[in-house]
Amino acid sequence: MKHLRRLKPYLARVQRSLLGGLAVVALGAAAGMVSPLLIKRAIEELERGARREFILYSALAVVAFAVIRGLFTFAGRTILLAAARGVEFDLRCDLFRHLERLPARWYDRQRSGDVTSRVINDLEGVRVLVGSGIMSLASTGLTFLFSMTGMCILDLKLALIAFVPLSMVSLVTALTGPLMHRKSLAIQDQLATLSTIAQENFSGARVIKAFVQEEREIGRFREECAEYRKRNLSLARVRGLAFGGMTLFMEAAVIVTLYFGGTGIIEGTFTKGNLAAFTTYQFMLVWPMIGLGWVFHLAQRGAACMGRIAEILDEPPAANGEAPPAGPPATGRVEFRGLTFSYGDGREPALRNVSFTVEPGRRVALVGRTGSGKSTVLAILLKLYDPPRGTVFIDGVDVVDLRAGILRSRIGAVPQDIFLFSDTLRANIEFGARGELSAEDVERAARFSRIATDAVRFPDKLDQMIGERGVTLSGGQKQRLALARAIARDPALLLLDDALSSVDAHTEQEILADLRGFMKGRTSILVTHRMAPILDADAVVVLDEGRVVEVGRPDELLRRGGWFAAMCERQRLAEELGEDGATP
Amino acid sequence: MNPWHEEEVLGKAYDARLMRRFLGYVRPHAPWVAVAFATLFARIAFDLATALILQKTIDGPILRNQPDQLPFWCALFAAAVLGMAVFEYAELYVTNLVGQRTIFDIRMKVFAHLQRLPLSFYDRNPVGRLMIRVTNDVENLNELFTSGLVAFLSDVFLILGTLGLMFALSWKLALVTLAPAPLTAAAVLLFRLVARAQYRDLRVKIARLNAYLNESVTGMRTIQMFTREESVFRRFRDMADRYRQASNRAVVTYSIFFPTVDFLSAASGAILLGYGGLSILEGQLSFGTFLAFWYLAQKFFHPVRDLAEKYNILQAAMASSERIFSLLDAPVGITAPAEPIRPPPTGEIVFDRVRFSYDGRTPVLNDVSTRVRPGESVAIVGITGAGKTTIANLLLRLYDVAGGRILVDGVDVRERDPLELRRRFGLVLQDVFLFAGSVEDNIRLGDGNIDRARIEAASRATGADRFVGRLPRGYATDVRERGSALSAGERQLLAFTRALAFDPAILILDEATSSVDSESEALIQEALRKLLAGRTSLVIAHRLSTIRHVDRILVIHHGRIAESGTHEELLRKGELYSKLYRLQFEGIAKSQ
Repeated sequence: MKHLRRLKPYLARVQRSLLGGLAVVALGAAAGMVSPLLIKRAIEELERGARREFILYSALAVVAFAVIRGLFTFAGRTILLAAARGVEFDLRCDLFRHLERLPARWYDRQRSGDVTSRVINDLEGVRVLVGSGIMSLASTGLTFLFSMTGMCILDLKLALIAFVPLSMVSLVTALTGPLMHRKSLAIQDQLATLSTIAQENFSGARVIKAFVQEEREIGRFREECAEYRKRNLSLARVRGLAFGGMTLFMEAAVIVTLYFGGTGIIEGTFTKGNLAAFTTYQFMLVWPMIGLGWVFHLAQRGAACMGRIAEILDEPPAANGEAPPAGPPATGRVEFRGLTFSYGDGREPALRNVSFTVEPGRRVALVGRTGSGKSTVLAILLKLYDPPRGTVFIDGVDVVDLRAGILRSRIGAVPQDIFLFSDTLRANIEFGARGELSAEDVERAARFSRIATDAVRFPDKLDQMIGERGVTLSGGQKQRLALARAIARDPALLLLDDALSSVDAHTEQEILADLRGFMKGRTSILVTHRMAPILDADAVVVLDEGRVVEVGRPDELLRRGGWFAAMCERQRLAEELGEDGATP
Repeated sequence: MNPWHEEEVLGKAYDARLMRRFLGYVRPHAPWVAVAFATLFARIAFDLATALILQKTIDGPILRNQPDQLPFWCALFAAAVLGMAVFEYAELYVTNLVGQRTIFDIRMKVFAHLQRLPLSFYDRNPVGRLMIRVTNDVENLNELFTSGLVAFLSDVFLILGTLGLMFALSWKLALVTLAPAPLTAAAVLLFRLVARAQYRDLRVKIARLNAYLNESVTGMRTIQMFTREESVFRRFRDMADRYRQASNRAVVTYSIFFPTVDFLSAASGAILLGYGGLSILEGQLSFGTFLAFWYLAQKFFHPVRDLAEKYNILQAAMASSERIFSLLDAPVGITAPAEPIRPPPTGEIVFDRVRFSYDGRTPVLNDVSTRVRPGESVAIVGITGAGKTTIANLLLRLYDVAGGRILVDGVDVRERDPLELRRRFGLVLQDVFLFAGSVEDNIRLGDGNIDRARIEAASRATGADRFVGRLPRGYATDVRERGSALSAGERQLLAFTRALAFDPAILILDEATSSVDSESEALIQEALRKLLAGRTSLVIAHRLSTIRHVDRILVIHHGRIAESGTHEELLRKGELYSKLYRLQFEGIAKSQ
């Protein structure tokens, strides 16, 4: 429950609404307390042979108080629930904001899809707690208070006797509530088991068919389904007991009233009016008594959810540099000085003693096998991971000291695993821009990346929606769109990580040639497997197992006949076999 | 795939066709359904009886001054209450019993149907979507039965019963007391209309918000890379705000609805007080009847109010049932012919002008013809995407050819029962898939003919017995258990043992690409030699190191057999194969 304390600042922000709403709900509950008393008076007057007018006025008064109660309840509900929605909104935004600040290392540790579903489920748990919880606590608590007060005014002794079975209702909820919760969790667990089996089964469909294991899989699934059914029925039994028990004790209160009240009427110490008023109060008490147990349960669940949210909120955000906001002028000069970098404690270094310099305006090709550290070099340049101090410099400043925002505003990157947003082509290009982008700028970026030639064939041209992660685009189109996005940034440093591998070799060469003019005076670092762009670069850096093994102009390296020359030979063979990776 | 998108679309709340089909699954449990309704009626009867007893108690012992009678009537009341509670328990349990049994049947049916669907179906449908069918959608059907159908009827019967009793006690008083009831019904209907639109709007907004959250979290690196945190946050906040506004609109609707219904119920009480009071004055109504009415009126408005809430449940359930039924209607595709042929296993394979494409447009295999003689071992090589694995898929009839035919043991695979056909093959797949269960289970794979002795013999032959002996519980060790994680090499040996124990006429070996330590590599090579000996074998080779054992090599290129011959012949030829060979052995091939 201690996690609920984390909600305090959020509740404080809507303090006035909460207090006001509570006050209004209290007025409504108080108005609700009046009508049983009116009924009592009317019935007592009836016995004394009252005037017709008195009965009619009483009825009208009941209506009037019902209207008052209705209005206050409406107002109170609206105010309280709006406040709860406000809390939810603030928490949601804060959480999102924080997620944006978390470093790549944190995301590396999470399973994909996990973060989203956790955030969604936990926010829902807190929302229900804050919304329904506060509302129920307010209305049930107050109704309870007023109804009990009313009953005590009518007849203290009977009120206390009738309270015994009513308190049993709360006891039933309090006893069965946690049990039901545990059983629900067991059911959720079992459903998760079913999901896992289903997932394994569906992902392994080929193997299962090939080995003719369908029947066995069905058998295994059947067992777990039977267990699931068993757990559900076990919950149903507890729920049946809980509901049956509640009915039993609620009606027992009526019996108690009937017996003691009836005896009182016979003995002349109790009136019929009291009897009517008493039963009415008891009906009003039913929901609060049930609600009390329920609120407790919601609070438990909500606290667990809030605990998980707090876990995320407590994650330290990515470190940021302290360099002055403007930073040094952007030239695109890159320097590595003996960089050794590892993704985590105890893990093999991904880069070892890497040193090389790229002067402004140069195009450098980064080559090496898979896992040689090429992408790591680019990720560090983007400050997605912080290198040790004094090892990586951009425009002469240590990246550790540079604000991520300033650094990244100078870089246009096309990563290997491109992420596009389910939006229009145009919006995806504009995504890369540092500020506002004119229509001409967008079109220029589209032209340079050659996505424009595809766009004209789409019905909505550049305003074509591309679907989730760009599903409607081919691999080559996605890459070129990502390139347009990077160009739209007008960067001092362009990083291309195997960025055109799905574009055919000829088009890649054309695009890169065009980019020469655009990138004049600016730096580009590209990772590629294709020969032509490598041979066309100003310099080549060859990485192997995280080490720089060769650096130099491509023609020099070829003549030297070392690692690079051997790689070119293999690549030539591969390209002859048609295995250049490009999908037609 | 984004699971938060497509599932949020809501349709009709009631569809007779879907309901009939759903009830078809309930029918086998008809006796229990009858019990459920019996308990439901009993519960309502006891509920109504309490009101009647209340009236008799007041008009009888209390007003006639018979204190000795009072305990009897109160005991009667208590008995009725007890009956009510017991049957409430029974009703809930039996209803759930029927619901759980029904959805058990449906879930098994869906799962079993999915087992029969062809691989091409799995290519088209993401795993996440299928999982939602088996889990959430089936759950919604449970709601349809328990919270929807039964609870709905229960509410209706309770309303009817209360009405009947009130009219029996005093039809005049019933008429005036229930005068606000049509208004309540109208309020419920109106609320339903407004709330439905709002609920849909709310669902759409939260779905969009969650989809955007998912997209942003997945693409967070890109957002950070392009310093778009601010604008993405603004957009998220706008969407969250639109969701908040939509939910506030719904809050207002609910806040109007519940007090309105409460007010109408209070108004009914006021009318009862006014009219009933006057009737008592005129001596036309007993106080007991008056109080019984009071008691009944309190209970009457509750189920009326509840009915409105059932609507959303029905709506979600209908959408789910539609999705489930359309899945069940997906054609099975690859089935056994009416009279499958079961030829004696010779181990002969013939590809006769085979054409194939996964999507119907891009050809993967184009006019492939070859014959593998019984006992011959053939390797298939080629670059990634050349169609090597497709050949295994077609041989196992996981897909049907688009043209030409494939003969196994001299018979077209389409004239055989696919399950029987697949059992003829021994398979060693690239990524060794371990099924849940013990080591022994994974070797036997449910084949009762394979006894422990055969398993142990096969393990000794492949050398798997060495690592199995080191496992905590030997052959009985659960392969998924923590601490018994098998290495890539051990998994490979296990797969060989599995194939050897089956002693198949034809072996398909989708050679592993994962590297193993040199000790395991030596074991694997030795096991492989034993496995291939005297058996028709098809080796899909990703690395070229193991194929020197084979009799013949086929080079697949662009969906055709480009070269065929022995290792030496093809090397001498100096074309595709020799290039592939040099590519691998003059260093390590390019990534992927």
